[in-house]
Amino acid sequence: MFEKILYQSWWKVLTILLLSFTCVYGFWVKIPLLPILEESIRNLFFHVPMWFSMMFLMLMSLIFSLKYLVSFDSKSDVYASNFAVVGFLMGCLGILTGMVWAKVTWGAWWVFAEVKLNAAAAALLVYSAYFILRSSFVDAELKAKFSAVYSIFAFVMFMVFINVIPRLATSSLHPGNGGNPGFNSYDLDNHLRLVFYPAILGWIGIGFWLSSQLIRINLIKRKIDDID
Amino acid sequence: MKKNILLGTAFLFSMVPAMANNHPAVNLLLSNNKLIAVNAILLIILLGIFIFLFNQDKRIKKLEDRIK
Amino acid sequence: MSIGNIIHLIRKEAILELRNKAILASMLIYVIGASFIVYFAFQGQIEFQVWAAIFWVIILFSATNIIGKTFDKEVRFQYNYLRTVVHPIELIISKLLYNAILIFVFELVVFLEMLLFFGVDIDNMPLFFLTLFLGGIGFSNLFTLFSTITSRTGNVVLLSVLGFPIILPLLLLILRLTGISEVDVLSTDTNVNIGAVVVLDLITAALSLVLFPYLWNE
Repeated sequence: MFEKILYQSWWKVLTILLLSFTCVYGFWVKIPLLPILEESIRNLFFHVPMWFSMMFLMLMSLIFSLKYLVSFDSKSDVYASNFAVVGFLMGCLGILTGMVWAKVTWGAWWVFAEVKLNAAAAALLVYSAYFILRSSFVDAELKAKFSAVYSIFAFVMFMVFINVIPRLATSSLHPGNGGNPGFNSYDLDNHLRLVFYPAILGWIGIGFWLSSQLIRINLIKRKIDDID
Repeated sequence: MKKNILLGTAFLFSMVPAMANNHPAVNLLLSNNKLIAVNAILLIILLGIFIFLFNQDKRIKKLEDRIK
Repeated sequence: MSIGNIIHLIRKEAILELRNKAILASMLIYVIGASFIVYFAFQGQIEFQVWAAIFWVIILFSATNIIGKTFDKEVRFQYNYLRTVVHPIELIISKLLYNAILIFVFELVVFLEMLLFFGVDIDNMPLFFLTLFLGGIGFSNLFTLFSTITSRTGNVVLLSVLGFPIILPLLLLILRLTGISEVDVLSTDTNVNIGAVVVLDLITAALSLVLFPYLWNE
């Protein structure tokens, strides 16, 4: 069923509509004027959904890594690695938009007091290690097996990092941590929600689109290799 | 299939002016040149990305058909 | 799976280690040399926070070096023999325990060195040693599994590349615990931190146990 979705095009049209909506209405929508954030709160429609998209793609990568260890089907390995590639790209975009936002609101491009920012950077390091690991094997089967194991390990530790450590930390500049107001206090603003939820779906959609193309290309490559 | 999608999209967009009539957000947009510029630039970039992606899809499809 | 087998395997590790004393001795000199360099670089004066950070960084680097050799001790065909006689879970448990003990010993050596050079005073010694113990287990859990992966690639740097970003949460917690142990105040914060390190140790151990058989079986 999943493979069918990969080749269908309805979700591509949906992605186009949602993202166009985000990019247009995101700039018109009436926002609650909050002290430090002010107009920069519109970055909520870009920065946050990019992280959601990265999480989604990494989750897909994890699922297919697990599937590989169960079935040892090299197709799953193609899926897992290419979802990770696009997830990494989304993470980089998320960090860039986050840095711009940090410069505007907190006054610096990079802040140590911010656990989530550093956790995100660590996550990107983990996944670059994953790509290095993949590139240092010659044997395809070993590569698939070992990188699946690493990515499962990495995902669990990354979840611990992102979800547990910031709660233990006393200082975080993100909403909901260390005395900052949570997004819930103004997320309830229905105007914001109207753009925020479509934005999440749109960014996940475009990530999925990119990875579907990478996967299809690599499946073709694999087939050609098999023929040779 | 493709034709239907295109028609549907065109229909949806044709609804926009009717809905947008006298909407406060539209009034804001029309009174603000900067906003129009930002929207236009973003939409053009998006359009470029989407055209690229669809082209890519088409090329991949061709390859898949050839390999079958 | 039997405990007797695990003890036998740990003894085998120790015997192999002692048979080739050059590696052990070179690691010993490595950590002593590292702390000596730090001593000179800071010219004998150091804040406790900096001391703790450098202490753990030295241990981290020596741990990657020590554990990186875990699967290089035996020759390849000996593994084929091991595959037939022991269960992979027994093997990984013995390797984890052995590495944890080894790292703990090295932690003690580095600690004594750094204590001798800089003369820091730690008020809450039990907490500090608990941190050393839990940290050693955590390092061993993480790096042992990764050394299985890297031993097949022949890429020496890969173990650090794989391990460093993943060890960050553990390192963060351990550093905080070390910072707390300087003054003798027990708070709920301490308990939460200890609990978090224990949980991390358990998670990494569980992951190693579950995932190792996949790497081990050909």
